[in-house]
Amino acid sequence: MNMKIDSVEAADVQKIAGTMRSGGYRLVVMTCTPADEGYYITYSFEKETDLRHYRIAVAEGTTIPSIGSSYGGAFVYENEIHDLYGFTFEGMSLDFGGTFIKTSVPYPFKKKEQPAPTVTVVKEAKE
Amino acid sequence: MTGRQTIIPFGPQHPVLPEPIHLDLVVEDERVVSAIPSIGYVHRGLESLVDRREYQDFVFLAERICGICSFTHSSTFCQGIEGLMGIQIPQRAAYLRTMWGEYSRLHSHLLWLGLFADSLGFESLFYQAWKIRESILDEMEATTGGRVIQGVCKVGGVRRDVANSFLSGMDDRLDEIEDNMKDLTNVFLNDYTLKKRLVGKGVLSKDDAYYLGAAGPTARGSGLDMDIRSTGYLAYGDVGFKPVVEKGGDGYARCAVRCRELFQSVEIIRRVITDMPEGDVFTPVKGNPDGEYFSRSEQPRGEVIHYLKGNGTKNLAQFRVRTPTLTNIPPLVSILAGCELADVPQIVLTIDPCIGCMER
Repeated sequence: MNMKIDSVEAADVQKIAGTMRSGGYRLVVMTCTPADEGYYITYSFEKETDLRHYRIAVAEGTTIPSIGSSYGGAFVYENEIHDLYGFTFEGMSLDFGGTFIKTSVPYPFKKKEQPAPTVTVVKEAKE
Repeated sequence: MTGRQTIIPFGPQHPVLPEPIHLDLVVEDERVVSAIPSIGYVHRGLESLVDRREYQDFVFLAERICGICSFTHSSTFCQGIEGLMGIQIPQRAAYLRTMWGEYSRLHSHLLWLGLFADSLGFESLFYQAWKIRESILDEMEATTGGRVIQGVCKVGGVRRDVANSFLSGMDDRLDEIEDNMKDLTNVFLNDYTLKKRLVGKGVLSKDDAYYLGAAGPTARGSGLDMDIRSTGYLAYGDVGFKPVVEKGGDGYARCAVRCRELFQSVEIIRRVITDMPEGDVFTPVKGNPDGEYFSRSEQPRGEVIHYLKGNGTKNLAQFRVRTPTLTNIPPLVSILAGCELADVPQIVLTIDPCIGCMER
């Protein structure tokens, strides 16, 4: 399985998606992960057994062009990344405006200064 | 006469839905114009626990992503760690994982067939499907110790071996299971009422299935020859696997794929039991994972992807999961547009949605 990931500019993702679509590739997955600086979003496409990965590095709060015009099904990934990480995608084929995944706190997967505690100690209130 | 558009909420609680998903159905008279899905009712954020659990322990958490595809999630996660660390698992472990993966597919497809029959009010058929499923779960329990959560996969192989004498008994019992499944699938594929509710309903074209990202029986029901088992991971390369494909694109085709896959799974299990290699079921693991890996497997509902990133410590740096139901949502939205309102519950069920799995 191909694990080679090509780094590309965020501004080029629409063009790459268009090339992939016209080349007969399907969108396999879009994966957002925190990086040392900012975040990575990896686009994976496949045609038969040819799996290709393209990665963009983005800073927090960046607006990213949507690939919805080439792949209508990308809206599930783009809305999920918006709701969990807080990125905005411009030109989504279906924009839920932050209501696709209902989370108890906004953008729960966004980098935090302090990680969430594994165990929450509940103390009894003294009267 | 054209009526004005009305929005009808479908779910998150609905008699045909075992798990919560919400659809806003925009209808004009009795026809659905569009469907807007929303999820997140059971989002647990399991992926974010990866930095608080060691990778060996996280296998148990990965297994709990879903209560139906539990075995495949643990197997896919272990496969990813093994890929990162360059571990070759023993052949017998690969064969056992294949066998349990196919038993999972059997019980998942039988569960779906039962739920689908129940959604139509065909109670006796529902009972029959789940009765057969019980015998599958009994085999899982006898060999792994668990019916729903098996806990048998570990990085480097599997925790339990199965005695060859017991494997022979399983082979014998498959004959009875197969006979029962023939009677069951005969009703699903030939009954007048079932065909009336499936044939021509929720048609997904081959092109739409491909470019909207359909996976599993949803894709194969539209004529796409797509199945990760074709890549030959675990023991699939040795059993001469060929995907089950139907060309109709409608609910009947998706149902037919699942019915035919039941018999295919039985054949794979038989082949695996016959050719089961002797030897260890576990390779000792030393060190910690480092690097990135996309681990892929074929769940009963389609392709699942586990993205893992290690940093040389006991805790993975990143873990992301893409499940087949998430990628089957855009095709669902597409096939609901233009259908009759009364057909919505059955069409939703034909993609076999697993919401807990989708939301992790």
